Amino acid sequence: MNSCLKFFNLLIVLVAVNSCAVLHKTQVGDLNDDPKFALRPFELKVSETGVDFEEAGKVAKALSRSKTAQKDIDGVMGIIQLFQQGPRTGVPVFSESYAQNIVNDLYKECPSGRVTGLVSIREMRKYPVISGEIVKIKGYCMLPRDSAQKSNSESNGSPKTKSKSNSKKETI
Amino acid sequence: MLHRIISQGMVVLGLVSCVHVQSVSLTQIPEKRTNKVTATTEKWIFFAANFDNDFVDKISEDLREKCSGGKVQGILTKDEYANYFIGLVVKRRITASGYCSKA
Repeated sequence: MNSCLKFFNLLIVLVAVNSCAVLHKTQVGDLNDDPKFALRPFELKVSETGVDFEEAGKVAKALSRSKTAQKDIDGVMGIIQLFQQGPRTGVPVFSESYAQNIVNDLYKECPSGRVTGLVSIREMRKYPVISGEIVKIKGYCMLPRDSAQKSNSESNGSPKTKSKSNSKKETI
Repeated sequence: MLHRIISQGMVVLGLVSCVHVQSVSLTQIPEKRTNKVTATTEKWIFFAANFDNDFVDKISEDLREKCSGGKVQGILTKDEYANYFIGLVVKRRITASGYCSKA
């Protein structure tokens, strides 16, 4: 009986820790496979932490035993819901401009500005109460054939991935 | 008899899917619209357990293969999902279709 309880606890922790990937939107851009250029794949990613206040309220309500506290939580939830109306993807974040600099990152990734086959992906990593709100751009940088050979020998042909979360930048 | 009809009805309802469009986008349509190319990618999701969206990655590569050495323009991207068994099973499908032109 005790081991069964332990197993269920472990299962609940595993389910809570594991994230669910939710896809909100995908957009494919024009593709130019000009033989004069070699296409180098790249991937850019920016993310921000989102907080699901509705879920947080439900958890707080379930944990509190006092009826007055539960009523207060309901009141607060009502006020929050009034301010979070309208169409949206994912859950609210604290900084709405987290995806603003992705164009600059794109120029850094491909300084010539010659990009093609851009796929914009808006997705979310859902955990209990919090989430990772992600904007991902995948595409190809068009390089003239001669410079592409140099670049390929440096990177060994693997796609370059850059991810940025809460303005901290790292290269994977 | 009634039980059988109800159970058969439930099976039929379970198998029938409801299709929803999540998003649609279109790029600039070219003048020459003769060679249409389409790439589709899909994923089955059971009990809402989806741990990655990597199935999207191959759509651009597929389009490139179908129009090797050319340009694909006027791409209509349709992102849709179909619910089966009262939403317990979901099929996510992304279709990108455009016009291939080769110089």
